[in-house]
Amino acid sequence: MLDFIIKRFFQVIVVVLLALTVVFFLIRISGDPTTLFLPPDAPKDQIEEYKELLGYNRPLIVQYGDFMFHAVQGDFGESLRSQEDALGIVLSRIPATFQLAISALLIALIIAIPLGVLSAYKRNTVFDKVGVALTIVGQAIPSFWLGLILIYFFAAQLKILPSGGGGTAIHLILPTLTLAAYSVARFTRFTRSAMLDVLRKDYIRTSKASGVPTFRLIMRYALRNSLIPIITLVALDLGVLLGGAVITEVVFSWPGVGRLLMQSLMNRDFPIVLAGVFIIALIYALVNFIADVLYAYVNPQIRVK
Amino acid sequence: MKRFLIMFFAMSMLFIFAGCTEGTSGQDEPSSDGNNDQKAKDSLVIGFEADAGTLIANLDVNYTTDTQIRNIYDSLIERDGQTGEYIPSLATDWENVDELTWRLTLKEGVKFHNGADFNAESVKFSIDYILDEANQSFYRSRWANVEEVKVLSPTEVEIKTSVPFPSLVQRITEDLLIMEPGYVEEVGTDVAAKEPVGTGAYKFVEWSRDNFLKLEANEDYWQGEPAIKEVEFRYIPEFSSRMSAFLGGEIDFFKNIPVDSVAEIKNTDNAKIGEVSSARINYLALNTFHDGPLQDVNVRKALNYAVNVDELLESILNGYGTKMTGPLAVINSSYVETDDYGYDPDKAVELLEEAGYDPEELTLTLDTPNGRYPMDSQVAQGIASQLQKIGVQVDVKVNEWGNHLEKIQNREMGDMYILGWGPAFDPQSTIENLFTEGAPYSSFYDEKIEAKIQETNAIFNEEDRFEGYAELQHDLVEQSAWVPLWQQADLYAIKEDLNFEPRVDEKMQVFEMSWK
Amino acid sequence: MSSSLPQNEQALENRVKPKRKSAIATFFSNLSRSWTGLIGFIIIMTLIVISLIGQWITPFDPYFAEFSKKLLPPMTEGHLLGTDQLGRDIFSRIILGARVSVIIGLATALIAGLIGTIIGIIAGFFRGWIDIILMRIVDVTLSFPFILLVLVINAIIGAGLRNIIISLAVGGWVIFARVIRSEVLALREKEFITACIATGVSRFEILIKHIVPNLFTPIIILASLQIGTYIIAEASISFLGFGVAPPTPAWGNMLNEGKDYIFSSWWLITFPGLAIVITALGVNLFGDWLRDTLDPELKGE
Repeated sequence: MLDFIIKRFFQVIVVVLLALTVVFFLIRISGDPTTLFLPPDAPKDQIEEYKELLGYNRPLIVQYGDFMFHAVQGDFGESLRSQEDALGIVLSRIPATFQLAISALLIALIIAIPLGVLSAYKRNTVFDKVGVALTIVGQAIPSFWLGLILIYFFAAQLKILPSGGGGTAIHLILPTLTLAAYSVARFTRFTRSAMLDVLRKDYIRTSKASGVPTFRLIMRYALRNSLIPIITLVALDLGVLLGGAVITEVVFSWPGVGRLLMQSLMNRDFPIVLAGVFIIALIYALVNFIADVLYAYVNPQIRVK
Repeated sequence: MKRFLIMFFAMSMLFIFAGCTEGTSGQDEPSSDGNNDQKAKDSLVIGFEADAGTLIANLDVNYTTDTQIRNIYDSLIERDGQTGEYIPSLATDWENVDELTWRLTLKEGVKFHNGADFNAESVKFSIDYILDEANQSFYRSRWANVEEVKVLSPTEVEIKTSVPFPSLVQRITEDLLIMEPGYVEEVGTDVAAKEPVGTGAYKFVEWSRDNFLKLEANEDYWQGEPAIKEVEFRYIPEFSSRMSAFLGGEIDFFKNIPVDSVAEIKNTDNAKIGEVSSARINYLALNTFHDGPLQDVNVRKALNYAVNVDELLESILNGYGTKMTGPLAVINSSYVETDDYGYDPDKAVELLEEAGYDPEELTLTLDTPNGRYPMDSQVAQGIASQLQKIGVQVDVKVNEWGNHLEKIQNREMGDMYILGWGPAFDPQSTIENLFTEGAPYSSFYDEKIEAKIQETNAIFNEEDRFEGYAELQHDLVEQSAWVPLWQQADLYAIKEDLNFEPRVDEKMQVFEMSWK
Repeated sequence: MSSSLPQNEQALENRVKPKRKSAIATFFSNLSRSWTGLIGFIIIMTLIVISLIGQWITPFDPYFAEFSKKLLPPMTEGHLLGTDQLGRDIFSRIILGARVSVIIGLATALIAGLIGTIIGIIAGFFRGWIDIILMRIVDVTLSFPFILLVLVINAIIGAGLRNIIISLAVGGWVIFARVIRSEVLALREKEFITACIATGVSRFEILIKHIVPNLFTPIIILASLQIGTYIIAEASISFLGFGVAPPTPAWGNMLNEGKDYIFSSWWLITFPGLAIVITALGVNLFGDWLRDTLDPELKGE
């Protein structure tokens, strides 16, 4: 087990470093950002001077070496715009993104697990069928559009909820719902089929035949046994959630990493883009790492593979 | 199992609760600024589209930074909010000693927020901050002609320039904000960039990146006690979010309203529209550097005849904008009236044929940014429709702003593009930066005109200088250097009971505002 | 060599052939039994037809800006779904926008599928160091949420139809590579392949004759399931201001242009969004059905 963890952890590091490399070269090849930050009347020689100052006219490979050397020490350089530590800026936005992602995840779980269980329990009834249809439609709705529709109803028409900005609980409602919708659909669908799998198992049938009340049966055995695959799916879906959070943050002006990354892409504030990429890749890789380790812990044969 | 579930739900609630109070929300109860109507209101929340890059002065040229920190720092010379004329601020007087020397007299008795005195040393320090390469100030290129700042006495400074530099007054007005040398030296630039100290009407309270900037009144302000005691710039990038925040009473005013939403705001209780013709101009650049038909003056003239600026203004901008006919806006200090080409499609066709082009066979490209200027991409598509009427096909290309700018600066543009310029108060900065060979922003170049520009820029005599720019304006119209469009109208949504006159220079000086 | 095909191989070919003959008939009889699959199929076919003939059936010129008629609500002056901020007919723009979605969905699936399949085959068939390197590249790509990866790449290489397809393909090939690799690994262990190896058939021949044909089913299933993802991803990125640039009508950038009118003109953001939802729904339903029919083992995963 320890071997597996070490090997898998090493993989995380390699993956994050490679991701940084790829984005670094993509960004450098796409041009340099100097002109966006200088006043529009800056003469040519001044632009050149800034390129020199920021090191953009050195050979690409030297720039890369320099960048990596500092990056592995957590130094991604300074934001071009504010001359503050880029990584620090990104890290300061993490709480807001987590706040959004975690509340969406919890809401999704709170809605999806009972719904999935009920759906499986009342299999083939109208309730089940409507539920399944809703999950299918739910997975086809792009989150940014759902966000717009929610803004239209709750902010523009009813005027009862703010459509974004700020950081209070009220401001959190619409973005959370937007982000949670897709996961609700996915988790419900998955819980339902995981439950059905378990319910089909012999020991459940036997217990049922021997007169254990069905509801207790579900709570006691079926749900517990289907929790492991559900948790694994949740962990794997965190990436989708993080990706969705970026778009949701933009739609609702939520001050998290996603909005920062979008703005930095538009402003060409490359140190922030790189630091943001690093953090997201790291979180994502770590989440997958934990999911894998958990999974391997539960299914020992995975480790051999 | 039951216990597990209960635990799970308890944990979930805890998480959500913790999530809501963490970081941002605690200080930010909406009731404190929205619902306490009985109490006389003395706080203000501004919905602003972007965070400041930094709070240190003289570093970031971005308008989002400048607008906010101008409430914390003062400048030496200000502009009148309505006419754009220079008025004294921390400097009471300024004069040319000779072509290379300027002398400024400073106000006495002004104190920084930390109690330190404002004096000539702080002016020298602030200018030196721009000039020092180590600070990587993005303003430095504009100040490259400044050689030295000398402190003559606590209230007198002398600025030496390497070449005659008539724009210095403009640079002092638009760029320079005064910092406290003792404070910056003591805490270092990193801290000073987060907790600024100036002489301005408002003192720094708290800055939460991408979230808000809070300021409080400087009761000892040298121009008097500010009427509004607490100010918050709240960062809300999406228009729809700003709008709903405004309608919900969370913010008291915001800028840059799409013209089609004006009616909606007018129909809202307790809301009004503030409008001002700003010093930012929008134009259709005709690229003479691109190897194509636009190198021919007749084709450029034809386009001036074929574009119906009045119709664009009326139908796309709903009339919000002031039509221009030449290179300078009315607000510009050297503006003279120039001939208006007017709308004449027949003449356009005639000129095109004269130049040897069949309008039906002509295809031009038109690049536009999206959302940078009021209705920019819509205007581009409107121009395309108008040119289609005389048979000219136009390929509209909508660029993300960074790419648009890059294409202009690298001279990779095709025939035409939409761009804005501002503030356009001063003839030199506008004409020099738009119509010379080295400046890419209008992509028009003519040898004779270039020579004349250089000649006029160096003139010190006010009248001769005015004369020179007047001639240039006529020449540029004659050459059809571009298709002038309009002076942008800046539109604000404002609470009915807030006294606020929008300024021509886009600044939001809270000191000038008050509640009724 | 080819004249002396091993017997079990001959037998296999015989078994496969009659199946192929009635493929189309089987397809439709299967389809008619599943209403979800049928709905999906109808939506997809409608979409493809619209994207092919769209430019001839639009009631108005989708590009023509008639300013006097801007922001007309639905069902006025012959504009079924109203007009946008430039007075262009929204219905016509949605019809033309279908083409962008179809092109992006299909082209990306094709390119990502092709690259992914080739890499998957190479990795799975040849194993060894090349497998390790390729799979490490797959891991790197997967270390990034798909939509973010595509967004970052597209923001860097710039907007446009071609670039968004490139960005989507760069983010999308990995899933094909991973699935195909494991399919190839599984196939290698199958009896008829080991038999071929034993009888001395060349590796290349095994690959072309016996492995590749068996990959079509998983490729088709995967592609049909991915197309919906690509279409939504394109719409999201165009919505964020990268992706497909206006004035080319695409559902995503229509939503982007319309979002500032959310307080006054609801139809600008409603109909393009509905078009995306219906399309994604159709593709997902059909993909699910295809998977359940072609590969019952995967059912419910």
